[in-house]
Amino acid sequence: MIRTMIVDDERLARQEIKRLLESFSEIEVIAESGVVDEALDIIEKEKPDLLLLDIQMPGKTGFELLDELNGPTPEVIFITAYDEYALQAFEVNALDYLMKPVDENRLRDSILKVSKRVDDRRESRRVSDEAETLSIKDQVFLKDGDKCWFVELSKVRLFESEGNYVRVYFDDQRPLILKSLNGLTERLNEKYFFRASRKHIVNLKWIDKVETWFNGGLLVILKDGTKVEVSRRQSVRLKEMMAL
Amino acid sequence: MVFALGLVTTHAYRYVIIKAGWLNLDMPRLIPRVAVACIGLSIIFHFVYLSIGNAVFRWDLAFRWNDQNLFAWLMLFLMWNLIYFAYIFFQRYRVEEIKNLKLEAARNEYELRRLRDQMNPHFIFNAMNTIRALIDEDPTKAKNAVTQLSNVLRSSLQTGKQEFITLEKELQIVNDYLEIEKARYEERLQVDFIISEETTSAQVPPLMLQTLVENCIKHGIAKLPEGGKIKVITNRGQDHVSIDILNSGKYTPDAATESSLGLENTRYRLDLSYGNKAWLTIGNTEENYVRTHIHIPLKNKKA
Repeated sequence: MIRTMIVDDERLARQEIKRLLESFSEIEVIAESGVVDEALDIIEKEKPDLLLLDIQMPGKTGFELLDELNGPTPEVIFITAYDEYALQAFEVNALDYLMKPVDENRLRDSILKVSKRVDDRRESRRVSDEAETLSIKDQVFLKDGDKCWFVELSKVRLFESEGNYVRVYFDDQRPLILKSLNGLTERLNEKYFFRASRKHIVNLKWIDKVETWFNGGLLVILKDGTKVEVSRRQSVRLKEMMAL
Repeated sequence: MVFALGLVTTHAYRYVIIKAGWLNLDMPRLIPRVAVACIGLSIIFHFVYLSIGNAVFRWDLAFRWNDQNLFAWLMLFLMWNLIYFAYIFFQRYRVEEIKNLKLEAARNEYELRRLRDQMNPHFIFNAMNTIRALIDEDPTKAKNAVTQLSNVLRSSLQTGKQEFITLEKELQIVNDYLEIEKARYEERLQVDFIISEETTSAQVPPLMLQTLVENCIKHGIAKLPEGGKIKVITNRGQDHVSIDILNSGKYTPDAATESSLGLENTRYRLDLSYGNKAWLTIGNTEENYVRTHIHIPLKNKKA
């Protein structure tokens, strides 16, 4: 079952989506909301697999909702009346969106795609034992100014702190997001992500080479050539991990 | 020798034509000038031709008015002028034509944009979505919504071409439009019309109120989680009609926003139709409403 939540400020629009979803046996609508702040609470409590999300809502937009979300970002299908403009925010990622009134066949295609990804994620979470952290298959929503991305964590090579912001390295993008590195460390699974120093978190899967550095420290070279210094204390830990 | 001499002469002549501004003259003034120039030039040319011939080639020829050569030079100069001016005028005609085409394209584009702006796609598709939901929930309401949407669309297509319609008709369009939005926003939108009977026959630019009310929804009601109210109030003065549109929310003047662009367009339309006898003002009231006030003279022609 795909645990689904509908967020749209119009009752009739939610009603219409619910009715369309009735014909999909794999979908279970667990919640709906017309107010962004209320929706945020429900999402964090219920952790739905899928969000059917309107973009234009009073107070806050659908993008702002995703930006304020802590924890893994559910799969998202945007639903909008006519909004090429808002969707231009997404440059690289293929993202799912449907136009109102929603076409049932297009909805079917979207749900098919989503259900595959939901299965993937469940499998990945089952393998990694810690339930509270993000799994490597989980996606996060990143917003830098007007631009937005959905990124699977396995694609992120490096988090680098810059003042109150964190720069995220993935594909050929490197947006700056308003998060703290400490907060991220708590949520990332340490099987995959290693706190190299006060400034850096690296994805272990992306490490190409490890070289010795000054004072018993280490230098990590990522597959894209980026070099990251590992602090002395963390070098000991890294050596232990690598030895295993 | 004749060829070289001809080349020098025509180049000098062309320089004079451009400097003297002959290219901007009309035909009746240009033709005599060209004729005189041709005769003069052929005489000078013949004279120079003979002088050089006598000096260099020892022709020993005298200047005679009935010389066949003189006549030939005249013909050549006339021919040169004909070709030269024909070329200039043809080129100028083409430039003019391109300019006209560009102008026409700009006009068409404006018209198209105007039509597209009137039929706000956001409104149409949201209305369609509302109707789809209503078909199951409340078929009667759905039927009414279809009729109202048709009315609004028809008005956009038809009245856009007219310069004026009666306020009564305009208010009918506004009412249909708001009924659809009420179906969509449900309890989040309340509407109040306070219309003075004396104002309904006044002539107003079509779809102007509708555009303003649409702005009230877009920038007012749609941004309020709790929704709000829209009031349309009309009053008649001695020689004018005043229309007030109030909507819940707060107006923040910002030159860069879409809403202020809409207001500028409305002001422009008022100015086109009434000159300085009509105006639009906007501001906040003490009761947390935004008030859009329009003053329109009863006589609709510019004085």
